[in-house]
Amino acid sequence: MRSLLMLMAVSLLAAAPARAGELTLYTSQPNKIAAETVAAFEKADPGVHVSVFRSGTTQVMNKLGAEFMAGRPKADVLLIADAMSMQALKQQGRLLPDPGQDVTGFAPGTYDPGRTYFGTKLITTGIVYNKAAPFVPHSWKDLLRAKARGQVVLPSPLYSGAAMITMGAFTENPAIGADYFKKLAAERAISVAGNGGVLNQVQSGSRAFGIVVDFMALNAKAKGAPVGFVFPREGVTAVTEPVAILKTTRNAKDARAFVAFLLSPAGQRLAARQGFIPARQGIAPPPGFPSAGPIHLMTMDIGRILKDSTRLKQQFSDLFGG
Amino acid sequence: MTDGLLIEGVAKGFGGSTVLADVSLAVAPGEAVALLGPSGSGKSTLLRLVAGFERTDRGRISFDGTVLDEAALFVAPERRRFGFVFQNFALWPHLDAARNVRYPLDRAGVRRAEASGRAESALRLVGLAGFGGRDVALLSGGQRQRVALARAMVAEPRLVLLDEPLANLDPHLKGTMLAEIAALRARAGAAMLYVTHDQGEAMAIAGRIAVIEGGRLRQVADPRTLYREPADAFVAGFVGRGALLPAMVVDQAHAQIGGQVLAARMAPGTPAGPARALIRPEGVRAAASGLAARVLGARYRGGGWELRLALGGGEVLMDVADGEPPDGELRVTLDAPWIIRD
Amino acid sequence: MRRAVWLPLGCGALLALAAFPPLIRLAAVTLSPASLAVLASPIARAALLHSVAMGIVSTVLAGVLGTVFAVLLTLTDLPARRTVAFLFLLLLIVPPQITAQAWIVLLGPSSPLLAPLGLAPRPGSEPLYGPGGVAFLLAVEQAPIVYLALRASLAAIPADLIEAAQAAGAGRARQIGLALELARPGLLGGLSLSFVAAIGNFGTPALLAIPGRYPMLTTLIYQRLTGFGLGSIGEAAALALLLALLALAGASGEALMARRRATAPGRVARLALGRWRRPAAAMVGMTLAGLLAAPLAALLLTALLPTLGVQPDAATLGLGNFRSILAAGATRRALLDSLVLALGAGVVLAALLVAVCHAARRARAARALLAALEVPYVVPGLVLAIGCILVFLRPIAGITLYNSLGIILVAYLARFAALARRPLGAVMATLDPALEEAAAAAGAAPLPRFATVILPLALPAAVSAATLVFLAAFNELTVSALLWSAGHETLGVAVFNLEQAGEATRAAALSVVAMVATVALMLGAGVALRGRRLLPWQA
Repeated sequence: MRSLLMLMAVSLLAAAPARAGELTLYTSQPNKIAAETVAAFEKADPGVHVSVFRSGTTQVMNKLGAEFMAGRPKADVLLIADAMSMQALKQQGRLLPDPGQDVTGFAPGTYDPGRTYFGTKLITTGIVYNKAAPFVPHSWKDLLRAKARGQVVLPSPLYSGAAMITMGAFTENPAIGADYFKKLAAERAISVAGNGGVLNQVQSGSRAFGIVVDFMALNAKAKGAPVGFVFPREGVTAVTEPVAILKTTRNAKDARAFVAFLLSPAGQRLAARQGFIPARQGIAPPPGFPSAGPIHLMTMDIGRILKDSTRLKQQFSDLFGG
Repeated sequence: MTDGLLIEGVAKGFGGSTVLADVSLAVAPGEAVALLGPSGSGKSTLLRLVAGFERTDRGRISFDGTVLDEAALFVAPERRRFGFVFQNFALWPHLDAARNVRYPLDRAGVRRAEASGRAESALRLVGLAGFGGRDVALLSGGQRQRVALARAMVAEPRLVLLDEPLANLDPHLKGTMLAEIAALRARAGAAMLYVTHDQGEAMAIAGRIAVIEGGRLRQVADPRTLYREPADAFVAGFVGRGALLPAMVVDQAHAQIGGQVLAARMAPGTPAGPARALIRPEGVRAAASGLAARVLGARYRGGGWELRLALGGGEVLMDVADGEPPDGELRVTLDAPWIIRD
Repeated sequence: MRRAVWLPLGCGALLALAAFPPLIRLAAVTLSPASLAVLASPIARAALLHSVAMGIVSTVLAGVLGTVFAVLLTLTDLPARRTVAFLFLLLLIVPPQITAQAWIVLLGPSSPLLAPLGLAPRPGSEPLYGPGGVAFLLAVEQAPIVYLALRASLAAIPADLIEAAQAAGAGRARQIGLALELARPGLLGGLSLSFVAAIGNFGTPALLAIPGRYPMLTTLIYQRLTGFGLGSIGEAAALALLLALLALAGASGEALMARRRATAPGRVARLALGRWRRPAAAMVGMTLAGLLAAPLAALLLTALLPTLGVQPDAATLGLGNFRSILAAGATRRALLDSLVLALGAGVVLAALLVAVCHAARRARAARALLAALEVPYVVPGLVLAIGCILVFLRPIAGITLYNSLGIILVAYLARFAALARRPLGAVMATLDPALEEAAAAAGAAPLPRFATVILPLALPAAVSAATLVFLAAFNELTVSALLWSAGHETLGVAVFNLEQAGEATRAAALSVVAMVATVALMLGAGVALRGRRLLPWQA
């Protein structure tokens, strides 16, 4: 009993880190990936120690939002799935511009022209299918076929940034159409919270088809799961997993170094090794990704999607319940 | 300054209803007093006020000249150092018999070895030598009450309070327990306030009995006086068997009952006029001449009969010896009955 | 009689300080006429209706299941009672999302049981998605809660009361009826807790109600918060207010129906089942197998596979997932942290609540506090966590709780007080006041009286309370999801993070490790407290 109390006391008091050489990163990267990224950076820049808070994008944004409300955000650097949340933070004036950051090799759409956030990789959203599925889909429209009725599972834009971007891009894309999600709902597709849930359903065979981010499906396939992944012919949407520095950082110097590392060839090769398509051109994509030509990315306007997001989410939750 | 317990003008109510109204009573050191009354009379409340479990609304309770409870002044129960025995025993189930008994000594800071010794001898006194290690939940009712008694007495309190201690025991156990309680108390020399609704218990244990009803003391007296000279109709009816007949007081020694003027006892200063006469069964005797009575019924009481008689405009009881009970009309005389004013 | 005033006052104040400032601060910052307008929207009305319906239906089901087990295990001579009680409690340690996941697979289109028989439902028409599945799984989750709350009261019934009924010619059914009537505070406590737990539950509705397009209050709040950002936190807070009112209604219903009666503990009643002994044992065994073995088997199988969907055979099954999660420092830390948090919250809450529940016999303020403690249990963990951030981000009296285990512990004290109070409140309500008066007459001042009489008598209930809190806190997710920080992870968060990353098999492995640790701890406690009848499965 006494030792338990001691243990608790020690744990309770071990707080409040010093600032010099200390960085706090809030990220939505999976734990293992985040740990590897931080380890690689700390190896490249030995004077700095990075503490990580990891959760889903929406949770990270909620935590940060509450910290803003209380007037003392703890994070220095933010690395989250989609540019939309970054755009929102930028509009609130929460981000520190970094005009000196080197963006050679990055396509203009991948970073903020105001140089507040920078895409680090391309995470595309495509279709995962179970090997037992009645057919192999090639087009987004295949998911509306009668044979796919009740067999489709998709992530909710209320929980997943990538799903939000996908919904926004589809709505703007005449080849797919604004009523695509309405039709999916009518064909009894179901929605689960995040991409992980989608993958579970398809892997376990509960559903034949899922809309999901590329690396999760390809990782599962590499481990022997009975699934395949396709980049549909109308094109795919992508989130760029941007990184940004908060204006309230107390360690801007090391924060800039962290951003620079992620964008550097070394950082980009690490992303490729982790199974992501690097944002920087000229770095080889990971094995398993289509080598034949560049992936066809749908065009999209982040600012507009952000503006429409509340309406789109409302529409989605009316259609799918959550 | 009076030694012993002094209750003066105490009143207590719960949620608007009065439970005790202006009760005064003294218990001298070493004296045994019973509080006798029907259920709901307020007797347990009075005992709980003395113990300090409740606070008075009005009045004063003091012991050996020290005020325990008066207005803002209040001595907590744990500082009064009285023994208390509960109707349902209230033994602590997580402690064995010996630890239950020595609990008051532990609280008083008595050293371990001494406390164990005293607890053991207290258990021996109540006939439970060697039961110290027993789980109290596994003891019989009588054994549990003995443990409770030992616990109340072990710290040698100057006053022991007992709240219907025998109400949960078999009748045949009651007699033995009564004798044991009396002997224990006498040995310890403690004063005692004993709450009961059973007049037999009260008479057996107490030198004086305080009869309480409706939150008021009706009479405080020794058992013989209480039986022979009850203060009012309630006490007359509650204590002992008997019946009240309409009577007309003639003078300080006579009253007219059933149309005849008979010798009667009464409190000094009883005015002439209508009253009631208390007729005890043992005071009714068959005679060749006397009042006319008719037998209404007979009940065998072991060793004799209790007759129910119609007499002088009412009903009385009469004890007759074993044999065939009389039937029909008979004549009776009355030993000088006790007159109660209306 | 004079009571120990400072002890319950101090304990109550500590509880109130942990529980209310975050919620009050949040309400003050966010509630406005505009945000309250959400309450009038059709979706809010539907969600309210659904939440109440699920609360009532699941509570009735959980009440039946929990009562049957409590009666069989506490009052009868059912064979292997201790083992059954232990297994029944394991229902509490299987994380609800795992149970839900297992049932989704078991009753789903690719069901390993139903598919070979051709009985599997067609995709899109699974029975579990929607109100039926939600009510069923909530009931499974809540049955042990009813069981635990009822058990303490049943065990306190003196045998002679049951024997009196026997003597009066009552059959077994009537004797059980009498026992339940006598154990009413416990039963009511369990039912009201079950109702409150149901309307405050997020995990199960998230898995079953969202795909079933059946909005409930908790999913709606979560949806507002996650989907529409902190801009809609006011609406979330307004909806949470609705939940709080529902919980208070549930708790006051309990208070209205509860009758206090004193029973002196004595011999425990024990009914002979006679010729029903075997059928009853068979029924208990089958229920446990269905509720426990099925999801556990599914979980274990998942944990042994490299990834979901792989055919299990000699080549694919292995311990790789276990090796990788145990090798990670963060998961080991998460296990230890959750252990410390769950034990700490359980012990602290049981200790504080013994004093407060004891005071509640007489003090209206203590009763009001206990009722108010329902609120932090029923508001979504996310809402409570945001409130905690608002209050504890800045140092208070020179101590910064933020980014330490301390803030999670404080949040857990707020979150689980309602859970801990049930067994304690029920036992305190039936404790004979004469036991304490006897101690006063024996010269014990209020504090020693509390220490030597009340505390030991409340100990079994306190251990039940601490166990309930421990089991709930060990897998807790929604509160710690926002409050954890680097170096201070919790188990629930670690599992959640793995699941989010699509690592379902590793998440399963970590859950298995956590459950093994819990079972080992429970067995260890059983050995340490052998013969003391303190633990809920030692009846």
